[in-house]
Amino acid sequence: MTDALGLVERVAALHRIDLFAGVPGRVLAAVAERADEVRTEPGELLIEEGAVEAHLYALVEGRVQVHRGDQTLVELGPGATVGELAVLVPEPRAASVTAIEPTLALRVDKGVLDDLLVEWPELANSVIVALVSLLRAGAAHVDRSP
Amino acid sequence: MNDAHPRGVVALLTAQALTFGVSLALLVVPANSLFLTTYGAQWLPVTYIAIAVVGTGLSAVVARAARRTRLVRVATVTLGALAALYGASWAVLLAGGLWVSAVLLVLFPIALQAGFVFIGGQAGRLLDVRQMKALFPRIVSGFSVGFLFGGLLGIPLLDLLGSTENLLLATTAAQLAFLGLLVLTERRFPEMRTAPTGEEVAAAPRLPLRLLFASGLTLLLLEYQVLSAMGSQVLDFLLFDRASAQYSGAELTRFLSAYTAVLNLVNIVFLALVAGPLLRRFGLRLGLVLNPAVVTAVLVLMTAVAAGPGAAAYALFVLAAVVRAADLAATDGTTRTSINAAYQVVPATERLAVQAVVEGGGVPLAIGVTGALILVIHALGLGTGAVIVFALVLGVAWTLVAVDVYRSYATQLAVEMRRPPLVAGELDLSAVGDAAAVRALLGSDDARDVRLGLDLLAGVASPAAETELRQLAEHADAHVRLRALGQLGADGDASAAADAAALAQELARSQDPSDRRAAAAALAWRGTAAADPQALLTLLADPDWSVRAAALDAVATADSAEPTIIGRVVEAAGDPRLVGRAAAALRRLGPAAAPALANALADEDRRQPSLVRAAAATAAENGFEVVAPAFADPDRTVVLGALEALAAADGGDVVPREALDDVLRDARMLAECTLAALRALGDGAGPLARALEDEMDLARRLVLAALTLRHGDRVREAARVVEHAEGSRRALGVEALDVLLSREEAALALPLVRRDRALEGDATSDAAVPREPAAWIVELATDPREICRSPWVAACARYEARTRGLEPA
Repeated sequence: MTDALGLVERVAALHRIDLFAGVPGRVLAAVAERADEVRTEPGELLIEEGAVEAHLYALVEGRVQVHRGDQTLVELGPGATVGELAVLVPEPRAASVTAIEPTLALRVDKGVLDDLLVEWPELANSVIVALVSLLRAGAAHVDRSP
Repeated sequence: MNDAHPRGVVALLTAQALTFGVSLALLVVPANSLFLTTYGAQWLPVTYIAIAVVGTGLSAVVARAARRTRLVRVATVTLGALAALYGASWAVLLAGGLWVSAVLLVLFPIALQAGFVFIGGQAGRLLDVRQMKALFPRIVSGFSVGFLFGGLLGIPLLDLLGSTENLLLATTAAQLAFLGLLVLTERRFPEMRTAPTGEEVAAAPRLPLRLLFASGLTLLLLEYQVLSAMGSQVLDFLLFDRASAQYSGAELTRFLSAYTAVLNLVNIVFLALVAGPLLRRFGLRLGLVLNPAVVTAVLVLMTAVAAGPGAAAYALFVLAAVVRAADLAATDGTTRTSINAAYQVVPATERLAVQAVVEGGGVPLAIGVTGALILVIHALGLGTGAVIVFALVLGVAWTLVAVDVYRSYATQLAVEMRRPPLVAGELDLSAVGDAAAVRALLGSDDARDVRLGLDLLAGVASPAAETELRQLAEHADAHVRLRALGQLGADGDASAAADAAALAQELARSQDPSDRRAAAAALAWRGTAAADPQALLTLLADPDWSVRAAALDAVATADSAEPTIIGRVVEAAGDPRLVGRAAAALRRLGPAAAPALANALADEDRRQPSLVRAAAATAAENGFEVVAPAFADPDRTVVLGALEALAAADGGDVVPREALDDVLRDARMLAECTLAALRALGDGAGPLARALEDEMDLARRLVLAALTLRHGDRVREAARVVEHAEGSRRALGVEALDVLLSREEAALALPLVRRDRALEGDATSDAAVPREPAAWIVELATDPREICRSPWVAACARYEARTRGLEPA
């Protein structure tokens, strides 16, 4: 698996998230700097159903399975995100996420985003634009997070 | 449709104009020939007056019909009625009724105006304003070709049909062909039917015709077209007057035939080759002014010649021929197009009605008035010189009105772009139900309800309010007590004010941030008196940001004498959470805060975005110097922050022109280089391409912010329309930017707003010269010429260099 990601790679990964797609890279770099790399092995749990967490994951490498018990809902790979809206408004996770390959993900915590939203009005504006787009596209199809 | 089929629309409308031209040429030849033979030229001005009377009445009927039904229905009935009239006139003439030639002469200008109203109306529905500017001259050229063709056709037709009267059969046939093409156009482009029907118009608010002209633009358009018609009529008269002085009999006929051919040829060449490019290059500004300006210039020469010594008859004759040709070419080539384009900003439901009245009523009236004035000049025994002076006065007035029309059009365009403003109103709780609700809150057991009730109590005008305040001054909740005492103190109760101050001091020492917040809020009730500086300073430095925010709200003008308080407020402006309140406090502190703010901004390490925004908001009232250091910052986002904050604070007036020119030049350089780099790198440049796209967006925002500051919010509104609207509304947005901005500004802004992949004009930066992708990557990674001045772009370029195996920069 890839060694530690560079800042440019982290920003590129975050740019694939709808919430950050419109944020200029120079602004998103501040988010990327404070994001954590999370590595999981096959079978390892990334998210547990029912847990109230306030962070999102951007998948950089590997594959994960979104499931309720034994029932697989969907499999996700690089470029996908889980828990995108939870980083703004935390709610109990509706499903679990388990790695099915060695997986590398970037985790962005709500606290980090909250701080940066205050410091960077551009980021706040981009997030609002992204949220409006998500609403327009139909919220039911957007947040693929459990 | 607007984008998909303009060619088909232009072809059909040009064909309509062609048959229209043929029918009118075949109307004017027999009508003039029969009238002059029967009654003589001296009675021509009388026909002008008849045109005014009949034309005004007919135009009112057409306008009313246009407001009740569809354009094509009105046009079909009108054109069909004209065809029937031509046919009936032929029958009357055959029966010996030569008087009908006067009717035909009167019909000619009315049919001319009506035809252009209908062709212009269709074009207005099927083409947007940009297409109108580019393509309408081509449509009008069909009329000129038709008119020329109809005139040339007259002689062989005369031989074929045997008499002048019989030419009216050909006139009728051409008119029916015009009608048929109009019906065909409606079938090919059914969207014309989406124009307001009778029911839709009835449902919309109906304005009386006099109110249609209440707006500046429509009234000016009426004035413009009246003056245009009067000018053209006088020039027509001058030409015939001078020609009849120069020639007679068969020579006169030969001259008129040759002149008509040359006139139409000049017209066609101007329409085909000159008018479109002129309008595209210089827009409506030139389109509206060219005609009156040229006419006035030639009339000045004619006045000088007429006033000069000796016989100048031939020179006057030549000038009369030149000015008439110039007037006709400019009328068809630029004036009609510009007027039709200007009508695009009149609401669609009213457009045709206004156009019908202006072109169908105003113009015939102008012709009538001109006829009457020429009769008066003749009756007074004044010569051609007086008519020339009269024409010159008309020309000057027409030119001035043209300038006003353009200004009004630019304003109206901006209004069209503008969103409805939000209206902020005072809280009004005078209704009985509201007052009762406030009292219910004051009587609540929940202290939070009582605090809300206290906040709202100020909106209730009631003598009982003081009694309630005194009761609340004894409330168990300290915050409620403090608010009630503070409010009583603000109303003049010195004892309550002293109690409030003592309670505030006690709360300021509390461990609970909400107590300290209440204490800070209490400082705001002191009116114009200076606060205890130490209390305010302590609260401005409170560890809890919400207490600092409340303390900032308490900063008043009276505190401007305390440098330490100013220093704390400036410091708070660097905190993004407090910047709004700090900026408001700085505005209250006034000029005394400006030096401290400018000093803070001069220190690069302290130049946070929030401080820049606060400084810019303050600069709007205290001068550009406060925010000047931000304009010199190498980081363009700092400059952008300053521009946007200045625009939000209406600070355009304080920014020197050179400062904005520098921003625009720098943004252009950034855009040129970024586009050149993007083209060279092609697809697959990953994060670097994205970083460059972000730089393009930054350049676009810089340009829009600078132009908004220079020209007002109308620029941003028009840019928003261009970015987000489609079809004719988008074209209106482009047109608005074209009108609001100078040529150089528009050449920079329009491609950026449209997100074109190239800017207009030659590159202004040497750094934008084409080069290999590798050279660009190295250039961007090291940025020796300070193109992007962005550490992020440099980081992405270094990443790209590593990815491509280039020498690490």
